[in-house]
Amino acid sequence: MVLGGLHQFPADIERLTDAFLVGKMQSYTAKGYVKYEESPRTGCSVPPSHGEEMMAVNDPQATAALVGGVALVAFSNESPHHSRGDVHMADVARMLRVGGVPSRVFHVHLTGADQEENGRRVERLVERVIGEGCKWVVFPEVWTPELGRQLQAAGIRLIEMRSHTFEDAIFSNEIDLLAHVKDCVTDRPLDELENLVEIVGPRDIRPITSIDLRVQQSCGYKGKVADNPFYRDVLDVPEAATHRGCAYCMSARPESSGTAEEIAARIVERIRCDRKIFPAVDTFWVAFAETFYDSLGIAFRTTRGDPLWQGITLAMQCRPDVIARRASEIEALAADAAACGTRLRIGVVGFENFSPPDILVLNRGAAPEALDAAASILNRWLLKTPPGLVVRGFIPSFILFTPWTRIEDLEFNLQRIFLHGLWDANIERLRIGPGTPAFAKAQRDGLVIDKRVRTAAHPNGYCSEREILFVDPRVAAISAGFERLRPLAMSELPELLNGVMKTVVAADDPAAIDWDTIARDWEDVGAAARAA
Amino acid sequence: MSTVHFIVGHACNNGCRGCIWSRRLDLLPVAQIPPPEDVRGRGVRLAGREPTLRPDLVEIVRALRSAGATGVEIETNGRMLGVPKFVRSLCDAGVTRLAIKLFGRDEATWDAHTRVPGSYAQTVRGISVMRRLAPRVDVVAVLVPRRDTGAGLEALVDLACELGFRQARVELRLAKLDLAALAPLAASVRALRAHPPDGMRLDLATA
Repeated sequence: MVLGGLHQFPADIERLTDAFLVGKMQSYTAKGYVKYEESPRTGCSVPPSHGEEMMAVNDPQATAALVGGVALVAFSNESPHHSRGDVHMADVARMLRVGGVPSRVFHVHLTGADQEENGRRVERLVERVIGEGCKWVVFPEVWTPELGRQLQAAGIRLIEMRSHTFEDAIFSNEIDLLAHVKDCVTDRPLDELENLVEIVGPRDIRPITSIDLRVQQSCGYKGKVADNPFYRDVLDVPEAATHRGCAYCMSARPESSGTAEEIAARIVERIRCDRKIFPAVDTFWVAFAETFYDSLGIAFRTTRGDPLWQGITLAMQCRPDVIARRASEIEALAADAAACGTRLRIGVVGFENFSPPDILVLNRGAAPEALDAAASILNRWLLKTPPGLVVRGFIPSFILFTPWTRIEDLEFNLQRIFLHGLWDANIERLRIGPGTPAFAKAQRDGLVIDKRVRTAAHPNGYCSEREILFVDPRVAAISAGFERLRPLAMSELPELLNGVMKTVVAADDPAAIDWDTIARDWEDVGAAARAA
Repeated sequence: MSTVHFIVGHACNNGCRGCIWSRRLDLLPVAQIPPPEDVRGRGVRLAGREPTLRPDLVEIVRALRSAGATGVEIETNGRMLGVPKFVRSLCDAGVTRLAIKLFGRDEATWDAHTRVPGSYAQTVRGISVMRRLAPRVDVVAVLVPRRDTGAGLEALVDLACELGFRQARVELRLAKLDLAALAPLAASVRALRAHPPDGMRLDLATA
């Protein structure tokens, strides 16, 4: 509840700081102390918003509408603030309906904190898909082999669209998908949008409130891996030799096509349509934001007064070097957005890494000086925010652990993070999977374990992630400690990393540090504090 | 008694290392008072970032008490409390408790942490003025032990005693602590719980 200048805690603090506080809930003790209940930053389960109308799914009228049809399964994490929908899968489902195939997206919301609950949610997915009598289930990747076998045992055939990980599944691209499922074609008239997305899994279902703005844009950064000396010895691997963009990116695609005017028209159409499919959406995430600036400006100027803009926020995922280069354009764009009743939000800024050797590993193509300049601009905007722009609460994002990271790289990054006051930075390890140059290089260097990581679902495809090793055993120890302790440490990740580094650097044998013991010691501190 | 907690602004006159709110400075919005039913019969805590920078803080406190709040606590760095007129106004408006954050064990580490030279001296003066002009208002020390300023648990509790606090609220935050010394910290917490400094009430919590 916003009370003018007074913001009641905790309900409104979440809105105020939005993604900044992802993973936290606040509650009160009898004495009124604010307590933080931690869960991984990638999301946690919280009670649904009250009074919001759920999408027209799980409607008894709609049950069994799919008999003999296709279920498309999308996984994503819930956050306390948003449920994020998979627009791409919704597009594929629409395409199938246009082709005469009954189809629906089953959107499985996962909690970042409770793997047992996630297991129950996947069970509910199986119940629903079997209950609907589907012939086919389409995944980006079959979530687990067990899930694949369960569906097969029920007579359901499987298709994977992103990568082929389940032997008995057909691997297909979008174009060929309709041909694979042609046995599902029906004469029944199929509405393209009705009951298109079903949320499955949580007991208390929340509507999807944020989605990606998809207009076939690809990242504007096209730095060639072939020009990067770090990758010189893996250029015999096709995906490394031809890759353009960040070395870990699984979304690297060719240049987007279309003039700025054409893309502006696509944006308008897309938002209009998506607000029908996802009626509770209030946030459109704009990945590769820099590729939208020109087109968004045209869209705002040519549709001013159109209700399609009212009440939504465009949350941008920004490259810092672009912020440094185009700050005044972003300010002007925000003013145009405000005139349309829309807000532009700096959602995430992908600093990723300040250290030059790691920047090469990531093939980020952004100089440390540009990152410094961007941080200064963002801090300036925080002090005096341009009209139409929301800056408060943005997440500075960092990838500080790569297989080749050195202690000096971590120290340099923390020094820059502290210098710019990015105290609430999100810090991750490099997440890589097959098909990327970073994976090819790590594999060549013997730094990949053939073991999948399935800690989180993510619209950008983290489900292909594989475990990595580290050249430097001290960095391995720091990474292990950081991963072990981060769920216990609020959002103060840079300070936690600093503490973990100090512990490792001071140790005679970093590999011998028992992080579980440290976690238990922390629990003991808590028990001592709570003791009567 | 339940307590309701309000964030009353994003401005701060310190620049503390590690403050996760530090990038959230913003222009202050116009104050509106919550409906009486939200605060009637409850304690209210006003915090974050630095409430005393609000020019209308006194009016807010007065309105909260008029609306039936049983008490109003302000969580502050205490620097503004060095202004006697301001302290008198807060007391007249009905503030019942001031929770004052202590940032270091001595002037040097304190000012290094806040990155504001003279902030230690201002807070100490604020505490003194508060005691002199508003003896009936509860004053509580807020302590966050940190590894990097040498501001360990015992050192901060000792400082709170030296500054005359009879109550302290300790927030233990993992990211700020010496990870290799958590076991001794647990022992210290137990010892302080069992034998708090003479006359001091200590509330400890992990966050």
